[in-house]
Amino acid sequence: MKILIVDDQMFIRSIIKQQLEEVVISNMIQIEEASSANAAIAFFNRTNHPASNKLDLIILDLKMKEGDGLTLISHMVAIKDLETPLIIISSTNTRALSLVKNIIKKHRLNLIGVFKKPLNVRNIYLEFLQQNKKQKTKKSYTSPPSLCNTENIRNLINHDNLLLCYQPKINITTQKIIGFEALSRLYIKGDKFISPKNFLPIVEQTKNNHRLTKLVLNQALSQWKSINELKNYNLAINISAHDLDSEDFVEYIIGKHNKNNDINLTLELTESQQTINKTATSQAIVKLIINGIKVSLDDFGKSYSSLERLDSIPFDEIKIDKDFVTDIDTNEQHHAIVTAIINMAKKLNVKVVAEGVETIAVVNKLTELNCQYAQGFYYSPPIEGRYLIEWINNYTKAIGG
Amino acid sequence: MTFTNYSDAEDQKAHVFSTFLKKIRSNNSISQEQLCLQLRQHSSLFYNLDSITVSRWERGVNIPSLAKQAEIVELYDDELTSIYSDDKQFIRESSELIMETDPINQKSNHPYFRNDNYQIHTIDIDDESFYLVLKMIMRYEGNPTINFELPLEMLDRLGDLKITIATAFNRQIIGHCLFLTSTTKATLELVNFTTNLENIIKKNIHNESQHNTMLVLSSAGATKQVENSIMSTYINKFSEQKQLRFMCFSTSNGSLIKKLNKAKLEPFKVKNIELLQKTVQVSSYIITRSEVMANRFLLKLAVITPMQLNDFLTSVGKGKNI
Repeated sequence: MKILIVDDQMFIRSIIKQQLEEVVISNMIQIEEASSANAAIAFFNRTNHPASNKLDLIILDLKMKEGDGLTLISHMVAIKDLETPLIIISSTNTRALSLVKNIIKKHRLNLIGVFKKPLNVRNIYLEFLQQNKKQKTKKSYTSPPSLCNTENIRNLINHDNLLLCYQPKINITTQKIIGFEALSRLYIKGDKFISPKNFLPIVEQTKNNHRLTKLVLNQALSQWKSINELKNYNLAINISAHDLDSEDFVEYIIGKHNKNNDINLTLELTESQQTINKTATSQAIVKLIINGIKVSLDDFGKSYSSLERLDSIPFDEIKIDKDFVTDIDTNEQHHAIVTAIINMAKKLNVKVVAEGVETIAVVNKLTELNCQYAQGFYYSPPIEGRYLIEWINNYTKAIGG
Repeated sequence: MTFTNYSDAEDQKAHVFSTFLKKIRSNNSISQEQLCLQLRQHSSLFYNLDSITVSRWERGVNIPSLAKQAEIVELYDDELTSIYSDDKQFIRESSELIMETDPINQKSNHPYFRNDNYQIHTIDIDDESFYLVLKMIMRYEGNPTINFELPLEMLDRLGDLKITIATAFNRQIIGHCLFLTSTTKATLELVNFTTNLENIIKKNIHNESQHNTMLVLSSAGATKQVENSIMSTYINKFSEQKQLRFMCFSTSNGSLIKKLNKAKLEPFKVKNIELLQKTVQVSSYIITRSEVMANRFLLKLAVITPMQLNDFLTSVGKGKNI
């Protein structure tokens, strides 16, 4: 176990060192010291290669004379060291500390915690152990299944593996269903299930978006075609704004829509505002709208948060990202953001759909805020096509309509 | 039109799904083309299906994913579990999950249990040990959302809670599970910590046919085999009750979480909750019926009926006595 202590005061270094030696059970502990960020960077350059020599933990003071803590943090960002666990210690006030914390989080360094002096080294070390353990288990959660990778994704995206689920959008006041969003799932041979969270980045990376979107569009349209009753409801398909760069692709969608013009179709647009702000993209959007396809801005507040273009492109709706909505009953900041988005959308005459609604407390808050539409597990988890009509009938009966 | 008669003896090597297709065609007297047409009409998953593919499925040249198999099987009013429970090979694989294969390397997290005989019992509210076992499970989980404020004996409708235990010699408990059926709405309030089990039980809808979710709150066993046996009891129940559309786990138990992750299930939520200055991490999983059926591990456990489970467990015992 190799630990680096960076503090300009020698006695603090020696106190930490002494206490660490008491707490760390392993006798394999090796403690290095540096009196400034510059000294630490020099140490980094000397020792961090080869990787076997890597540090297990850095304890860093923020305020130092020759090169402060932020210098070392920037260095770690520059060399992309997002792995070495980092503990910040400081005597500065809490506000400044939380600011530093935000900077570190933004750059996704492996921050264990920020601790104010005087220090309790035992607690700090225990926190380190706990976080370390947590991260190890976390890694095993998120590691994508090996069956889904850049090499075979093209083979995976085929008709036999795609299974769509549909999640209802609900009018909060009348409780009526206004439409459904089609959500894709991939099932693969060997019968493992992959969620979009895992396969979408690979699909994007390997430029298979068009292929996937076309499959989704066809399967969803065929669902709506096969059951007349579904035509009472809007059908929403996800699409990346990048996809609209291709004129052929835009024509393909318009062609499909024209063939099925009794189906009320919405495209939910994800992607950064830069893409949407591109002239070519906004022209494509306008073209879709002219052809009777509704366009909705997905993940609003997360990736797209600018008001630009909202006045020049007649978007049909914006969807507030679920991360903001899920906890508006307890998180004041999120409550403020959601309030602002709803008010703005009202003024612009754009529909608002709050995503990620899971509890009655959140529904009540949204009602207070006069939010019109909602989507989320509270109303229903995504429903498989074969259960859709049954769900609609049960739901309609339950709301007494 | 004539059809080859489907016969058990000849088809032993055929894939169980191929056999199923042949059976529905012969029962309904339809050709491959007609079957193909029916699937195209009734499911959006097969809008561009052709009869060549149907023929390939029947001959076992290739077999669609379990998820698609489930769709077809359910269109013809059957369940994947019931067709796979006719598959001897599949049942053998299922039994291997709950029977000891390597007694020497058997790992147990119970000090006095290795691979001895054990039995599975359901404990309902009238059983004298119900309260004791329930308290024991609550202590085992340490999950604040499944604690009760009122003394257990004062609660109405505690009988909604289902408990199954595995016991070895002298009735010592070596595995358990705790679950109930309810609605997705109630389940979501629980996984968001806006309610607790006590309130869910109080407000639980009486009419079980309106329950669409099975909520599993604890599932554990001293060995991997006991764990699997216990799991099979509620997963089988889930597969039998067709109105149940979602299976939900809410737990802080690391070994169960590990097991679910190993089965390639992803948590819906991981939330921290403060309890007596300690932080407890509760993970929740919401799994659709298709995901259960399309998951080979879960399907293997789902096909084991309580009777088969007992047969397997007693046959292990007999084997050892010899």
